[in-house]
Amino acid sequence: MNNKGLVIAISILVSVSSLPSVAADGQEESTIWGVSYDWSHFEGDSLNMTGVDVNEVNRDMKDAADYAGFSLDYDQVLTGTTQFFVESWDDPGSYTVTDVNGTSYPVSKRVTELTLRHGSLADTGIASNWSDGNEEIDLWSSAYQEHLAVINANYVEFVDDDLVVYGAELQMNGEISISMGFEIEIGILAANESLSPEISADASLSFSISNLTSNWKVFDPVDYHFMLESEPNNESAEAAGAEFSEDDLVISKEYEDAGHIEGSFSSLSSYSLELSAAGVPTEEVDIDIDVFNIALSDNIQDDGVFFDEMTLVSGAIWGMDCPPITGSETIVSDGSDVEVQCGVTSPIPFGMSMMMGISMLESFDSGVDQLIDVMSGQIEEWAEESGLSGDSDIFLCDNGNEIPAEWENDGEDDCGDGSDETGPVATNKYEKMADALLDSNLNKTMEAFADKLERLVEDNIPSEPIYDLEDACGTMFWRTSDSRVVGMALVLEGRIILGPSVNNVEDHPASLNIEYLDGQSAREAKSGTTSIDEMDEMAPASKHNIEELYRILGPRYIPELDTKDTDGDGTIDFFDTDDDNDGVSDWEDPEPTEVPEEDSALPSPGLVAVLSILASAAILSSRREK
Amino acid sequence: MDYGNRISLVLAAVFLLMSWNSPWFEIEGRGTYSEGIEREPTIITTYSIDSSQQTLDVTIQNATPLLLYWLEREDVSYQSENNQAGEEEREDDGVKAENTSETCTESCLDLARNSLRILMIAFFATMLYNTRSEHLTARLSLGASWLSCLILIIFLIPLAAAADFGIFSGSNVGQEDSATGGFDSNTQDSVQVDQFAHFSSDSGSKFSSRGIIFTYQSSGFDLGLLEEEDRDEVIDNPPESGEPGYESLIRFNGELVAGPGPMVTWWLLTLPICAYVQMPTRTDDEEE
Repeated sequence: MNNKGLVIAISILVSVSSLPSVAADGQEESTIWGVSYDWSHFEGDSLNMTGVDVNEVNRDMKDAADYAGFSLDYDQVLTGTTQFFVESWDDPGSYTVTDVNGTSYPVSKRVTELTLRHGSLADTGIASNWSDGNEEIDLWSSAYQEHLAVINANYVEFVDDDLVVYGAELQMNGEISISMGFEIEIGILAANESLSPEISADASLSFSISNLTSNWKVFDPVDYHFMLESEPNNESAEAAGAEFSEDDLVISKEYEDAGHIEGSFSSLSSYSLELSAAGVPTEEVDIDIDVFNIALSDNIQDDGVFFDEMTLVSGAIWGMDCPPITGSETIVSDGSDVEVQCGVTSPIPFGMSMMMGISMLESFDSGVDQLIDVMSGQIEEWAEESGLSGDSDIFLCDNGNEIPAEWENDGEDDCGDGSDETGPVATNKYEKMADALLDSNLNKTMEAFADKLERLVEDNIPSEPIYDLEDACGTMFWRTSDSRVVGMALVLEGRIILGPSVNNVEDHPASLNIEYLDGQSAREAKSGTTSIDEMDEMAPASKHNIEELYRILGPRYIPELDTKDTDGDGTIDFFDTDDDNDGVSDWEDPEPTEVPEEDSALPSPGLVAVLSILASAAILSSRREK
Repeated sequence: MDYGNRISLVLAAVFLLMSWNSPWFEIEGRGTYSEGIEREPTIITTYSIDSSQQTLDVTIQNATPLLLYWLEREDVSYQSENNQAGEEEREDDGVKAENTSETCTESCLDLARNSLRILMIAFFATMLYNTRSEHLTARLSLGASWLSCLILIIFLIPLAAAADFGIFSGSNVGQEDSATGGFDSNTQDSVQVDQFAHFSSDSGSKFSSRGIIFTYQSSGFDLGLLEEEDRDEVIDNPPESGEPGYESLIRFNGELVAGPGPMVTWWLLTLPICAYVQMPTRTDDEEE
């Protein structure tokens, strides 16, 4: 190989090495937009928008409690991310689809992909102690919530040149789960009696679809995209058989017999519920148990096929103004000016949202149905037992009056003739304790706390709102030429707070960490998102810093805390956001606890670097030969 | 006191503490609805007693169909006996209260705990005494205290817990016939035998290294799952597979193991120590 060839090879290798290793998904000619938000900025964003500093309010609560004579510590932590992208493109190839009757139609494809990722962790803790010397209440509580949503949906709609729909296919998978729980310990000392219940509960609910495919076949071609093509009027709406309201230019149509939808799915609905109670008074229910734990769980696996009628509802509001954005505007999308219509419609095709809805309902049919039956039945039973349904136990007075059974022998003549007070008044340990607390200075303390807190919080809440949130509005942007939604915007006080650049409309000066993405930036962000489906990837535990909560709640919050401190900086790894102190946050560090060896200055060689070095060596060796 | 005796006392103290702090008595029940309810829901119940508390764990796996069964079935036995039971209820309550109070002054289990605490202290004291004296009385008292503790652990603690549950006073738990042999009697929704047509049950028990094992199988047509007009037909003629009403067949299999907890193991470990301290003291001559 001569030198020229080697130089070219090196140049190619160097240029290739600067490109992303993974090409973006989707199509280069696609229209794509989306939103990304990092929930760890929520407190800061709230402060910027409302002027209320949540941390300052927490401090006010603590100060007000100190003033009133008891201790109170409270904190909450929220982290996570939410991202969604809508990408769509046309595949103008020549395809053929058949309708329900078997009639074939030549069509092209119109593809829409929806990618949604949401993962958030929220923790709350409170610790409080009140005592007036005789009576005492100690409160300790922690709670958490985890939300996860992963949805990948690919919708292919078969259309002709006039965007009349001849059917569609949907492929999707995903998971939606919610977990929450709390732990509460209360210590009450009153009337020389003590009560110290400890209750904890954990609940989780999850629906996941590992695979779902469905197919929509029409009875007759369906034309619903016309609603985004041109401004509707009475004549056009009447011709299309759609409902129309002239005031806001609202057009809508329900297609009751839009065809059939059939598909197959594999889904898993699961839940677990754990309840633990210790130190709870059980005398009244005749159970002599100190610690009671109950756990219910179920995993309802469902695989099958479904067949259903396809119903379709579509519509658009053309007259929905969001000043100064109104009517048609020019926005900058993917670096180019795009003429768009403003208004309200679905960000994804109506056919897609209906197919997703019907298919998901079908795939969770057995699991969700059973769960709903159990929950509604149980709630009904609880309502009956608690007397909310009016079927509770009744005490019949001698004079014929009816009173709730629990009012019998409560020390008050509820019947009017005294017939409900024939037995001894039930005074037990807990009533004595309640009386003692009522006689203590607890009420005064709470009043003092409330008064002081009101005064302190007043300083933190601006008398005039920073921004008038009532003056906020949102609008979608769609291209009338291909009836496609290309973006959206949120407008506050006449300026864009979230959305693409709109000609002659200013951006809002408020600093928010929510990010609107379109074009290549959205394509790259989506590419980095599609492989993410775990909670720890969306809401890394290393980013969810609960050190302050641990300080408030103490060792019982995390009983077996690992106190390892890799970098020896005095902050243990569990709370350290950079365990190895290499300047890279743990959630971005592939080896968060790997301390680099100081005597090893050479960077680790990559494939491109190795090839470059070999090529350079070849050049140098040939020169030496010359 | 020689070195061996000192070691023995330390070991005995350790074993006593471990014994005291281990679970004393455990009952583990596992029952499965093998027919009539889809996906075979399983109820696992664990009841344990230790030095400070009684713990009850109830776990229901594949819970949804079982919860649905409990919610949807109609309480036929309740309807038929409601009036009669209602009249007797208030009287029964009074009797129960009296009977319960007759069994123990307060909690039988607390009484048993206090007794065991005293006996264990007595055992350690007699062991200490045995290291200093080879008198027959000392040896007999050590053996007697050890045996008393064992009897208390194996027999009296479970009986005390049973008494607290009201078993000896005709109280609630275990009194009513349950279609699951009482396996799910700690849940609110256990189903009574009167609910079933053609009810049959079989039970057995055997001893094993884990304790006493009770087995229970039952089956019957749950009338509460049938429409009122269909019940008589099922009562008169048990439906065969595929016939209307067969879907109300409920079959339950359960196994319950009741036995002493790890406390007994620790307690048994003190036996060799007892034997050691009762061995005749070697004289200096023998040592030489």
